[in-house]
Amino acid sequence: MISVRKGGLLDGGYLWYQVRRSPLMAVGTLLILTVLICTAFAPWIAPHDPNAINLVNRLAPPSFEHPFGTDEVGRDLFSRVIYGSRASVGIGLAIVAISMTIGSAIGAFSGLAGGRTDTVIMRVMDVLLSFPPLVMAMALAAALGPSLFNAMLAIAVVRIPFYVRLARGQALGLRERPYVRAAVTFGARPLGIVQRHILPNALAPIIVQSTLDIGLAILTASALSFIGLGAQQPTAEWGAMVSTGRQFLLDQWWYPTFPGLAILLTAGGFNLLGDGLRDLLDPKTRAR
Amino acid sequence: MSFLYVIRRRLILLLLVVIGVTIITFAISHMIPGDPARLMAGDRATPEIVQSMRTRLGLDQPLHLQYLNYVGSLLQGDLGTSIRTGRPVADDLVRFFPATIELAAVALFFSVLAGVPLGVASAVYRNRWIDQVSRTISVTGISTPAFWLGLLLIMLFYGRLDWLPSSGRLGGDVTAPPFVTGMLLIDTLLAGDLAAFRSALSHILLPAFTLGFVHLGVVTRQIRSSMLEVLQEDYVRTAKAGGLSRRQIIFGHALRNALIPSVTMLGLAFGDLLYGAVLTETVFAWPGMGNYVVQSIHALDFPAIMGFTVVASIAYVLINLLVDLTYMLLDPQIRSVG
Amino acid sequence: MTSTHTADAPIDLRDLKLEFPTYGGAVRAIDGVSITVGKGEVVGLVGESGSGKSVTAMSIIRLLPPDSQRVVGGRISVLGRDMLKLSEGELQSVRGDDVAMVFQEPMNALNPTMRIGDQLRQVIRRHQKATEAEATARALELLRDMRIGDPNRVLRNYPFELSGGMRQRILLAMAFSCRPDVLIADEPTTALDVTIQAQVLALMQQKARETGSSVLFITHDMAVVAQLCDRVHVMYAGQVVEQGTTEEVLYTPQHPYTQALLRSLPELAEPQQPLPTIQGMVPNLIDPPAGCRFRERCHFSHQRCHEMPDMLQASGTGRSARCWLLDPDNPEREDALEKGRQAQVPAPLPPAAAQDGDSLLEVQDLKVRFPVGADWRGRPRAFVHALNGVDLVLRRGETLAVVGESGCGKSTLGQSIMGLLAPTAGRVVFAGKDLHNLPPQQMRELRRRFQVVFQDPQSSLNPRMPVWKAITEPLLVAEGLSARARRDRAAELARQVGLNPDHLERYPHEFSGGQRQRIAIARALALQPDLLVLDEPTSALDVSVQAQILNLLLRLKQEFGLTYLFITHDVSVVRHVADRVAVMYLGQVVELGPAQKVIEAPQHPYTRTLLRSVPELSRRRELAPADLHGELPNNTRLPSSCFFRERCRYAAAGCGEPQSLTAAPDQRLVRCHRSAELPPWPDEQLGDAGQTPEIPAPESTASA
Repeated sequence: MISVRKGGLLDGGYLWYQVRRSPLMAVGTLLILTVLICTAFAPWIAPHDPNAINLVNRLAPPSFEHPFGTDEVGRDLFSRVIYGSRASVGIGLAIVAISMTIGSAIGAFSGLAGGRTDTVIMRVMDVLLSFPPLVMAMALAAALGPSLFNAMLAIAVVRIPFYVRLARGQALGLRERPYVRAAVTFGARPLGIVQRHILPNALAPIIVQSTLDIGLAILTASALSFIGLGAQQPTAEWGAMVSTGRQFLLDQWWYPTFPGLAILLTAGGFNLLGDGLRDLLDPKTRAR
Repeated sequence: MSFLYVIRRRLILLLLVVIGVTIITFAISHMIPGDPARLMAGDRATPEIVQSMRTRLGLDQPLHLQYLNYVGSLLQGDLGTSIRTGRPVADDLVRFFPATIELAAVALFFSVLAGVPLGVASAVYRNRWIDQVSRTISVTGISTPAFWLGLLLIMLFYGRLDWLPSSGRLGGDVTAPPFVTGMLLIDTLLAGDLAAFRSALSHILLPAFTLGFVHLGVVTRQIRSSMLEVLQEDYVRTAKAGGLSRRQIIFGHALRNALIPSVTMLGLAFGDLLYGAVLTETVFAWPGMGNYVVQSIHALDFPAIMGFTVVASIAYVLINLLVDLTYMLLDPQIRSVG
Repeated sequence: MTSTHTADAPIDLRDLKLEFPTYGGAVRAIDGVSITVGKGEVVGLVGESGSGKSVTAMSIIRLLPPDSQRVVGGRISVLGRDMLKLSEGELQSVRGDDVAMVFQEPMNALNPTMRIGDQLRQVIRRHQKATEAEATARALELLRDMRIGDPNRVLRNYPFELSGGMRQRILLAMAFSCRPDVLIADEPTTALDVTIQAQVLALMQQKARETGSSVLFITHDMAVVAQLCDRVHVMYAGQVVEQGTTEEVLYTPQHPYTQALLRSLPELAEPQQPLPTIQGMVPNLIDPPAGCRFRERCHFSHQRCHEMPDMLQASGTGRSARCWLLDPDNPEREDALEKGRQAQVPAPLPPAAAQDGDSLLEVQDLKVRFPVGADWRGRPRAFVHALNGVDLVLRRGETLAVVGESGCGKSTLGQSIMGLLAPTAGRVVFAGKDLHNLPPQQMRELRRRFQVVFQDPQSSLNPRMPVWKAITEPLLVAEGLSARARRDRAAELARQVGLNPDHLERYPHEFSGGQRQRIAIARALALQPDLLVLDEPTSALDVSVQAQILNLLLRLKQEFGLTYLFITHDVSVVRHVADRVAVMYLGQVVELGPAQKVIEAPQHPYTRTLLRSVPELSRRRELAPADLHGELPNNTRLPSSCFFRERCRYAAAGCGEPQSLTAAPDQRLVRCHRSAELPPWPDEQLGDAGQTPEIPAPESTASA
């Protein structure tokens, strides 16, 4: 009814207006920024070498010197949590980058190709989607051999069908848009249509989904590490730290608590940001 | 679309899934480092024993024959023999399955019971404090590593407060009820053993909460978004213009329509709960399928892993079929055509 | 202020001001609106989109979400109650009981998962002490009043089982269920086809008279106002700019905006001549310029207009307008009137070149059907028969309009002609080549010669493509022109369609609907095609914008010698732009001939029904619920008889056979074996002759 000319996504003031309306998205952004800073500047932020063993000072409770306490060989847990962000965020981003790229390409191709090709691809995806994803990832990781890299591959493979479906849906929806139909009427070739019309418009929803997915990927990766199929000692990785800390659960509460909290806050940050982006992009829920 | 068409499509999918799962698990099992025959024969076995084991397992045959053998025995309900437990995989699964179902069901019950009202309140009071609180809860749920939450709960309710047990399904002070459904909450009641029931209940509380809390976030988010969509539909405005009360509009008109798309999601989520239970079961030493499969994976017990994956995938497709049919029953437009 | 109505009027808005807070600032959507509706009166509230008419309507019963808007001044009095002071609970007991409301979109206005009976009973029992059985009885009675056949079955139906017209009648039944004193109708027939609109309006009027309800009728359609309303308020940019009796306002409008709006209607203009348009755009309501809101677009504007005028009363009548021209003591008045008169008349187009008559496009026995549903093997359960044998010849240089109601197949026809949809049978021959049997490369070549403009300018442009790229995309595709060459060509095309070439770097969302349609037209012209298929190109636009686009299309046609296939549902647009018209019904052409002849003297019974249902501004006539049994046909099961037989009042022996298009007088083709024997139009025995004599089109009569 009343249209406001301003309010594009790149209008900084508008973004700030939305932040005030939806503080949770701002919280998410802050969390992600914090984690990213930890990732980039770990050596400067961390007070100790994450792998420096100090058997004298084993399992020390949180103190000024060791804010999160120390582990069973006296390593500083705070420094290990800071360094752990590298493994977790890195693996999360890598998983999503791989599965999004491959999945979207297959999905867009399938949707635009249509016909038998589409049917075959989608049946294969239906089959893949029928596997319990976590178990599948575990089986793959076990078969490949337990390591962080293999865990990443396993999770990425399992996520591909989701992106295939998403991108195909986008492609099918966009194909019916009048501007795409108009492009057909002046003889545009399929590849040109994909490049000029489908890709630019399908990208936004896919990016939103992948933001949400980073959170999930980080959680899954830490879960694999927790059951021993991911990061191996002495790599500082949050899931593996919780796993080791489990033995000291009842007496040294800090050991599993802080690494787990780091997972929660990081995954939460990506989820909040993704939610917020979706609200901003979805015209139906987009606030005035 | 008709009911029959949907069922037919699902059954075809089921067939494809079985073929796909078997091929993939079979392929994975041949990628594994290590020799199953050697694993099975044990560390001290002589090469001769390993070789005879290999022949017994059919591992010396060409791959495609091995696969056909596998599928053939699968069709007879034979999922192979577990390397780790030495029992038929099918027997193991039957033994552990009810515990997982029970856990997932209680978790689902909890998450829906809390998640639906939260989601509704969140949508109705959009952008107010209730919404912010409920969204915070839901994002926390989605972002919490279940294994970590489980540990915290054990630390608090078992370690500090000593209110609840930390592992297992039943205390050592009560006797297990006779096996009827395999679900202890039901079996204890059927046996009329209230003490055992109380023990089973106290054992399931923490794992069910752990599993349910993660799911709670999913439910809340789904209900919120479909409520938001429904609340701005024209028929809600009609109801308002007709002078209906807020309660009639929110629960009679909006929620009713918001639940229809949610059914699909909740049904699928039950599938996720079943398999999400893997981590929770590990943490609470819950003797279910999840625990079984994690131990199998550690032992590279591929007959068990394959068996589990095949059964789980089939169950997943069947759950999907049920969900689709429920959805069709709920939506009058589809119902009438069917 | 109005003087003829007293404070105890059922609806009495006084100086209402309402804002929507937004990021850019508060939008003053309603700014000082005063409206009264007397007992038993039907008052129209007209305006273009964004004028605030719907917001006004919703605010009367406080239906707008409380946190999205705030009332910042004025009073809303309904049946003596101060609506701004009532609690939510009190409002709930007023809504639906004393004050009922019906809305525009009947398709979604009923709960899709609840039976009709439950929804009706729920409202009845909310306001009246009634048992379930009593409520059912009352609901049945209401449905019968709305002439719904088989009301018992309808009570058990779900909304999706009913047509749009049926749903709107049910919504009316619901609105009247508690005998409201006031009915607020917000564009209740805008989404309906004209024949259905006629039924619904007639029922509404009849029922309102019966119950003595006062009606506030919101619409953008002046002709509907002429048919229905006793008095009318005209809104512009959040204000009422003129009010008076319907005849006063429609036939001797005082406010320059009302005048301009009426003059931009194609119905009142000389066919194929430019329509007077309104320059500029509606001001931004976040921070509107001081003074009269219409000042910058007004031909009569003068110094005094920098000051906001009040509603000034015209001498000796109850009407008033928000314009300084009505102040007899205004010293600038005479000069302003003179200036305005001179500025208003658009230059006429030179006479059209003779159409050379050779055929450009031929449609031969075209059939299209779509599968619906799936049985257990996945095969379709039924087919929607969208086109059932269409034959057309389009001659070079002419405008052929295709007119019909929803579901008649006109859009499917357009898509098949554009080669976007493969026909089930039949051929589309363009310049001698069968479109659907060409190798892809030749098809791409041929496509350059016919282009399309769609209805919705919003979705016909890629939101992420700057406008110059959108306009010249055809050139990139077909000729591979460099970016530089395309930019130059874009500027030229922009000038041709009346866009500012400096704005070509912008994105579609930065343009208004009318401008976007110009962009779409520019893109269609880029390859210099022979034929443009215009698929409802003005249906999503306001009338003043429609006038601009129609003018543009007329001018371009002359300039470039284009041929148009103009698909529309709007008879007045057909009359204005078309040389010939094809009337479609159920996937067939039922009448084809020179536009003027067909509209002035329709022959096919369906064409007659259609034209009888079209509300006309210049002919005020009583609404007659003439064709109440008429529902739009079901095109999954085609009748074996004449397709129109069931609805036809002239049906006789011989109508059981399928009909064919046969030649009739005046170069016409008519699909009716009785066309020669039918009574002359207008069908006098039905009282169709206008009851009010022809009233001259509005002139610049601001001097009162």
